[in-house]
Amino acid sequence: MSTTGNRRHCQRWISIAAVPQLLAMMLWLAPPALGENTVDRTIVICQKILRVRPDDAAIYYKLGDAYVEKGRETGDITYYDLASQSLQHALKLEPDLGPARRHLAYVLYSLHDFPGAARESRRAIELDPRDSNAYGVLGDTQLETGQYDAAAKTYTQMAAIKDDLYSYSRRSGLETIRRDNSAAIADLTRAIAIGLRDGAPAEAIAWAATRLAEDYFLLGKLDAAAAQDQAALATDPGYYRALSSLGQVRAAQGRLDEAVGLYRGAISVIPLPEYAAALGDVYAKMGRRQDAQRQRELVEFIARLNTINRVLYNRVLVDYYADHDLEHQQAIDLAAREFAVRQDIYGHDALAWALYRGGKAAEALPHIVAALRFQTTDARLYFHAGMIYLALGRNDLARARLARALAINPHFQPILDEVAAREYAMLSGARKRQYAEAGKSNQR
Amino acid sequence: MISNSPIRIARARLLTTLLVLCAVVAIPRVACAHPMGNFSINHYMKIVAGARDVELDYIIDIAEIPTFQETKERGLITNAGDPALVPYLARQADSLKGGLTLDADGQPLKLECVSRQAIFPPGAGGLPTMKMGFVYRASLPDAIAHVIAHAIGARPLSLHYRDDNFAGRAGWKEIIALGGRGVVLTGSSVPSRDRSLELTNYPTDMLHSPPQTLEALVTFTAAPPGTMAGGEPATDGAGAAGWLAAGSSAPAPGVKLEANRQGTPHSAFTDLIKSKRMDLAFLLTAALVAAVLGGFHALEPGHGKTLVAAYLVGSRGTAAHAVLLGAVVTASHTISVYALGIITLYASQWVVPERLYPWLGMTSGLMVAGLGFALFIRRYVSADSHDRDHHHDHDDHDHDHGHDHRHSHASAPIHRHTWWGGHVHEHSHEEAHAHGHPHIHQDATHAPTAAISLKSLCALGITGGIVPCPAALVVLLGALAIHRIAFGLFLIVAFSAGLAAVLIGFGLAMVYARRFMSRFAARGPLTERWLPLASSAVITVVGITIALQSLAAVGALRI
Repeated sequence: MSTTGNRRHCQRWISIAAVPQLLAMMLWLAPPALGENTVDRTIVICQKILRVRPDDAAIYYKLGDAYVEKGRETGDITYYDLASQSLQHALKLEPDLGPARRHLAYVLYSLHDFPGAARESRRAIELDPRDSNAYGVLGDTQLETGQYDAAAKTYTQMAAIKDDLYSYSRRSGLETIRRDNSAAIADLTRAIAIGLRDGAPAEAIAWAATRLAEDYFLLGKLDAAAAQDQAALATDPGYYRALSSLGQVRAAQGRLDEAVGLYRGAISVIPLPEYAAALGDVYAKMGRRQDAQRQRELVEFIARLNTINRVLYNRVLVDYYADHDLEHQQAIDLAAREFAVRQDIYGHDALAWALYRGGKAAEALPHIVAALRFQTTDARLYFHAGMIYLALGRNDLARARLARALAINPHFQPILDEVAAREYAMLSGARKRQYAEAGKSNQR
Repeated sequence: MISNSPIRIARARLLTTLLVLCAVVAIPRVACAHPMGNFSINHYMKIVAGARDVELDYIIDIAEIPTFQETKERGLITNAGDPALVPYLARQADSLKGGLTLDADGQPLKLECVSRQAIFPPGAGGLPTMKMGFVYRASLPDAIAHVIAHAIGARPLSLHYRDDNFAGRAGWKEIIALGGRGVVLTGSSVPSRDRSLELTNYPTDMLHSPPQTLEALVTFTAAPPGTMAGGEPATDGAGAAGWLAAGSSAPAPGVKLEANRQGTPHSAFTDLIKSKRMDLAFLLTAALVAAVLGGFHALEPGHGKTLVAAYLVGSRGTAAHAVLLGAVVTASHTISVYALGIITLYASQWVVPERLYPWLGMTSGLMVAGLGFALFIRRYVSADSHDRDHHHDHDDHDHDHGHDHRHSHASAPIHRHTWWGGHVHEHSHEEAHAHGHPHIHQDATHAPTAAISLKSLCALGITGGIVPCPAALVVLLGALAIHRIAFGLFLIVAFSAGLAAVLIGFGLAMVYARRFMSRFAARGPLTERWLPLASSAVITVVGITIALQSLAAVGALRI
């Protein structure tokens, strides 16, 4: 209030320049508390500095950065809220702090505020057109909202500036959707190698490895997927995404007991509804009906909490309802609400799948067609398409889609893979009978 | 409204010192509301090292989702009176014990659960959460207990504690360690004060993230003989000992569980005041620093001091006036700091305090200027019309009683009466004067001319003090940030006391200096007419300056 703007400006720039050194020094000086990792220590130190220097934008940025890291590690949304608070405070003090802008964009993206993330990342790019990560966040936002051409362009700009773990792994997501699986796998492999070389955080490397495992899983390469998940767990023991990803692989391989253990491990870290739903399916397949029921109740309970907390994005719940043929109208409503603001291929797919279950196959058709417009190698998409065609009586198309699904990955999902196989067999049988009858009549 | 003077810089340094003092001594630690998210599992452990055994007070606070999982899996009814709860808690006590490790000098200690309890406070949407409390006791091996009991001053013993329960699950993970009866801690990797009031309060903000401590190393030794003889545990005052000792007289010893108090700041506030006792020396130092800061603040150009001086000189106030004016400025200043603190805390979404300053300053400046101008006009008019009579009185009076007055002012109760009555009773004073008590009203009789009224005194004091200074605000907010609200309020009071002392001192100096002057200078147009006029002019100018400075600040903020 009393200091001149100029003086404050000078102080801030000096402090921004000095922050990394200061932090490094304090990290070195401060004795580590037992069981505390680097992120925790960075958080504590930043907090201590900020208590004495409450106007230091650079430290607020650093604190926000640490919270983002912590949020990624634990999957705890609380930390994203704290990160957003810190970064917004940094920006209030120093509106031109590009990195803080970009981080804020990432936090908003993680909280599924896609318009906000796009806005902030564009501003970050304006502030620093050489910030490859800002392009990365913008590209991710475009990818999640189905603007694939724009995402491709943004990712190209990003890659032109810098090639690192983040840029390679980001690009791979688009390649997977566009059915360029080999490019995606190559990029992820490179991302992991670069991450290991650059000493990226363990969580980031494990994340890329898990992504790679999921890409292998989509292709039905279960052994390769398992190997990547195990590598991720070796890098970051107890990493919940890798646990559930490996659980999925083990379930597909029929090693159900192992799958149960892995899913339970992931749920003990963070009880996400998708994990509980998947565990419930594995239990159901094992015939442990009571255990399956319990997991499904948990999913329902989380859904109720989400309603209380007014969560907008509920794709997981839509998939859960549609997969288990439950709550048709609610699934359609949830899917439609999300689709209004987020039109990526999986948004189309979720809406189509929910509409199909609600007996509206005709309405579902354009959406499943849109979902498959890149012919993404994902058995689930083909399975949904097959079921929708079947309901519409277009048996040849249905049979072809189901055949494709089973060819990609015959064990894409417990229980539903059996449905796909059964329907396919019936369609094939019907067709054979048809041919046979046609042959007979010809002979006559 | 404050310029970059050396005083300001000195003040800034002192301020930093004070804040560092707060930060270092108060060991700030705090965090989030069930904040931790509805899938969190929160841990709390209080380690109380004693001469014969170690007590572990353990709380597990489970949020909505895991509570649901747990109750479904175990078929529990979320009711503290459910009979199924007793065997369940016994099993839990056992299985949680398996996740805890406690070593004394490398020897693993055997834990025994002596008390357990659970409550089910409602969480989001009324869905139940579960809070369990356990007290474990571990006897120290005889050899170690012997060392503690008999070898005073021997090498301290070390305790190593680790919690592996619910690994990887998000949540608040807090450990504190205390020395129990007959024992003092010589070292500890964890604090002795708790941040969450035993998991009942998780304040959220970015500067206080959840603690993530699951491991602790504590060294302790026997307390010096003096404390042993007294039979009192040598604690740091942060809450004597474990639950067992604290509740030993109660029929059910051990755990006391409470629901999360988030969202009820009042009880959290009172708890802070009650429970956070601090070192007396630290409190005194902090108060002293705050008072010195307040004094510096009063010396800053701009408000307060100048106004007090100008007003008292112009109105020929008494010592009592000086004290009152200083007190009013200080009181209004303190209140405005509190108010702005509240705004900053609760309304900062809508109001940016930094933006508020210039407008407050301008309002205050204009009010001061207006008041000064009104005084000026009144004095101008009254000086013209009533001058004569009073002149005579004064001449008389001054000649007769010049010297005595100081004494009578200091002690005569009648005086207090007169100035409280002030303007209102001015006629009776004149009567009193006529009846032969000239010394009573050396100053009071001037009231009509000089316009010392309680009302205008307060008005000036309030307008002069209404602009809260950033220094005081930062002290308050700093204390709030480290969750020492009572401490913050206390510091502001100390700050204000310093401010008041300087302002009052200044006022008194003015009063006596003027009186000293008036012993030599005969009453004439200079003191009777021009001085009051000049003083009100000064008040007007000060007001305008404050307003203009605030305008400039608005301009600066917009750059």
